[in-house]
Amino acid sequence: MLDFFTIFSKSGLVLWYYAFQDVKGNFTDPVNAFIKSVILQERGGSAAFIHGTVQMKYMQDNEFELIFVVGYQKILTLSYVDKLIDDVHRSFRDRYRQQLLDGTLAMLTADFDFKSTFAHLLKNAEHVTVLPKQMKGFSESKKSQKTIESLKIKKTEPTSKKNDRRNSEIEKPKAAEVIDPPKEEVNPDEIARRIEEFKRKKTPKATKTEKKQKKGKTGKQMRIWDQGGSAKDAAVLDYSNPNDTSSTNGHNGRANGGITEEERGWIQGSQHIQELVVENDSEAETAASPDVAPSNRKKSTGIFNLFSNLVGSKALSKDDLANVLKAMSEHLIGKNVAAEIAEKMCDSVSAKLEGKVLGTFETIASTVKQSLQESLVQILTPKRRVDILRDVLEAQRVSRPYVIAFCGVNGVGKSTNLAKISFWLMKNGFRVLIAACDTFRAGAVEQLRTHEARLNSLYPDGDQPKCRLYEKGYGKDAAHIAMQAINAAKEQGYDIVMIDTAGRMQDNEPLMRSLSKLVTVNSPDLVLFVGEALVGNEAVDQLQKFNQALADHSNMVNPHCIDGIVLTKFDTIDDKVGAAISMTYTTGQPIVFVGTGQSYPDLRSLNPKAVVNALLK
Amino acid sequence: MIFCCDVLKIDMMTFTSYPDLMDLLDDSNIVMILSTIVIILLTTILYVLARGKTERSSVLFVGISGAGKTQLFAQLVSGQTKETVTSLKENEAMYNTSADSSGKTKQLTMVDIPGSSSIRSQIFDNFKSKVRGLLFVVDSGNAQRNIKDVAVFIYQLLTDEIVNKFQPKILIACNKQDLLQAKSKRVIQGLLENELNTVRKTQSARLSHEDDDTSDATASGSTVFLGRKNESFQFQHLNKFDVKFCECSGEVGEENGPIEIDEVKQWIDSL
Repeated sequence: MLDFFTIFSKSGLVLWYYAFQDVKGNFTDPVNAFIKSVILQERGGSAAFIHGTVQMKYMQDNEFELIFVVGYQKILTLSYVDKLIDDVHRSFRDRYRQQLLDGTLAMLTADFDFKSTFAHLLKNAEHVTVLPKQMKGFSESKKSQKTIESLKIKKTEPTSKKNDRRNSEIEKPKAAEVIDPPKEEVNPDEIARRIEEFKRKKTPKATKTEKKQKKGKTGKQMRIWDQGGSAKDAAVLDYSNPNDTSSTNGHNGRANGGITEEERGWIQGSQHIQELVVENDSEAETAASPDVAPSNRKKSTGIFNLFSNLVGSKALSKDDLANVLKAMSEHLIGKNVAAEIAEKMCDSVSAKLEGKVLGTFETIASTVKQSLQESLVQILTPKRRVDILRDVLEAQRVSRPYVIAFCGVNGVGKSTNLAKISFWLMKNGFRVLIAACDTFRAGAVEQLRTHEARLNSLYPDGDQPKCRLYEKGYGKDAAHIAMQAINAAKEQGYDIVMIDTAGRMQDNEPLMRSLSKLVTVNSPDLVLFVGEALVGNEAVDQLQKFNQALADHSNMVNPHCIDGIVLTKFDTIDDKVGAAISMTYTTGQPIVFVGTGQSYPDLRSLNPKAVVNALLK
Repeated sequence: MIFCCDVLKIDMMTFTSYPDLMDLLDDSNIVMILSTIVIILLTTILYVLARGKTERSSVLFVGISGAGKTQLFAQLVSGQTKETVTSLKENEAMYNTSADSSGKTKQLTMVDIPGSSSIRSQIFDNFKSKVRGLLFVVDSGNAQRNIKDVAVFIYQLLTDEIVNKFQPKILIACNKQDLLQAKSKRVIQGLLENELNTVRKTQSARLSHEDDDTSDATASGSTVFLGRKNESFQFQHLNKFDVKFCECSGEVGEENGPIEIDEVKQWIDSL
């Protein structure tokens, strides 16, 4: 009934496998997919994984660095699989202990003839029938125990339930607490809620009068729409002042399109995006850590090997790890990593370390910290190649514009970072077209127009401007404007189109639908989610819902989800850099840019080691 | 140390008036002190010598995921073909080169570094200080599709500080020649040179060392420009590195052709 069962080492060598009908190809693809998504993305806490029609369960042996994976069709519900994995693990380990300890060469040359043992174990497992859970009798249920308790209360304090609802509501929780605290039938939140409810019931009249008072004070004010006014309102709506010559779209009294000398110096900077430097990061530390890490990894040689034979080696158990991991988890949460992400990371590290044999001079804390550091760097390092300039050159070669779309919730810095990225791209010699698809927020188009003017005066270029704004005013459909902008870019030879969208909350369904429509219709090359580093647990929710919306509302088989993350306002957080982890863990996509300020050169690329050092300090 | 002895002797002479000190510093004590110092010196010298011997004797197998490094490693080290899956950890084993003209064999450490981009840089950093030869494995069947990833990885290797310091010999092995659609080494060399021509400009525009550096030893520097500035990139322009190409196949081909890893073995013998 099983599709396959493999035993392979973490270093990639398959020691033994069983494949249904001996078809080898059956297991390499699912197993590779499993490794990529579960282990490499540190989701090792959960023990099951589905790939296509195959459900896989697995187990890690950290003492010999092996992984046992079993795969079967997901429509089958096999109850013996867990027991089978345990049995196979134990028997394999006991039988081949010597070869496994001898190292890589032994593993390569040894012949693991496990077929007969496996067949035997499989037969045993299939025949053991797991009895269905017995139904609880009434005497064991919670309800019967409740009534017994309430009888106990009635003995000491006789109150009838019908007459005094108030008393019973308060006394029931108290009694439950007094007699049986561990049962936790009524927790403190419940008590608080009930007390509030009771207070509200006691004073019903007061609340009603409050509401009436509020209504009396202010009636609904009539809203005046900018473009919806009639001729009568002309006097009120006319903001132009013929005597005021100084204001030209906000460039009050500044020459050169509003660029100061200091800002002009920005062109002199290199074309490079510098790497991120996290605050409070002493140079000595970062210089020391690459040296320290390899020496820790070196297996102790020479004299110390003698000692390791004398002193007993200890295998890590779950309890040993639990304490240290709890402290680590709290530390991470203190550094602004989302709570559930910190939990999942610690579960994954625990799965990786359970059963591992410590070296003689290693402590549990240092091993856990090392493993956690490796996992965190692994999460922050991109899984795919991140090279926007190369992709733009590729798009240039086939003479079509490279389209980047920015999305995110309100106020995270989409327009500001769009301008910064345009500045960097223009520095590298490309022509940028900015599509103003934020047709809702007042001043969005004017903001982008200001950026266009400043960028053009920083990089003046003869007849054709290097940067141009494509806008159609307010109130129009964003997807349509984007489509027209891309066509205009193609005709006029612009290399890159930057689409600025309106900020929207992740649970606002009509807006998420319209964003998905924009992405589906225009198929941008890069969809960047802009998130601020100040966000805490919200980051997980935002990203999940954005990804979900993009996947659900597009009618395509392979929906275009978020491709990358721009982490903004990084200069405001000192060393509480946990948002980076939360965001990359949730989506699996890399952080492409980091925004560290509000002026054009404040753009960095992510340095995983520096961020993890700051995180674990 | 001798200076110390002289100082002791001088002290002895000046303090002859103190009979207690004279008792302490009699001959047998001096001999003991001297012998312990000599023993400590000897052990440190031996330790330094022993460490010096094991420096830089590793051959690192690098490449992107799916190139066939683990398979090739298994073939070289044990002569057996094994099924493999995506590696999560490195494979390390000793390998004895075949006897050269004077009949001596060398013992080298073969290390197979996993190719997944999220873990390869961390694991590579652990082993790069001991590198003597760099074996870059390329999947010849999928060369065109993966060329960008391969080129970026080669660029990162060639501009790495420690690799530049030790200047190991480099062999680019075009693996999976048993496949029908496998490209020859000349084609792959051309593709790589083309791609690296573009990559050296775009990658250097990403990171910088312009002001006080981030003191991250692994950050590739824009100060290193591969090849010659006004000419398109070619591997022979690299002064520091000796880059060779070869073809190999770690698996039995569809026409049951032989497993060819002789060129790789010859290169390893020449290290």
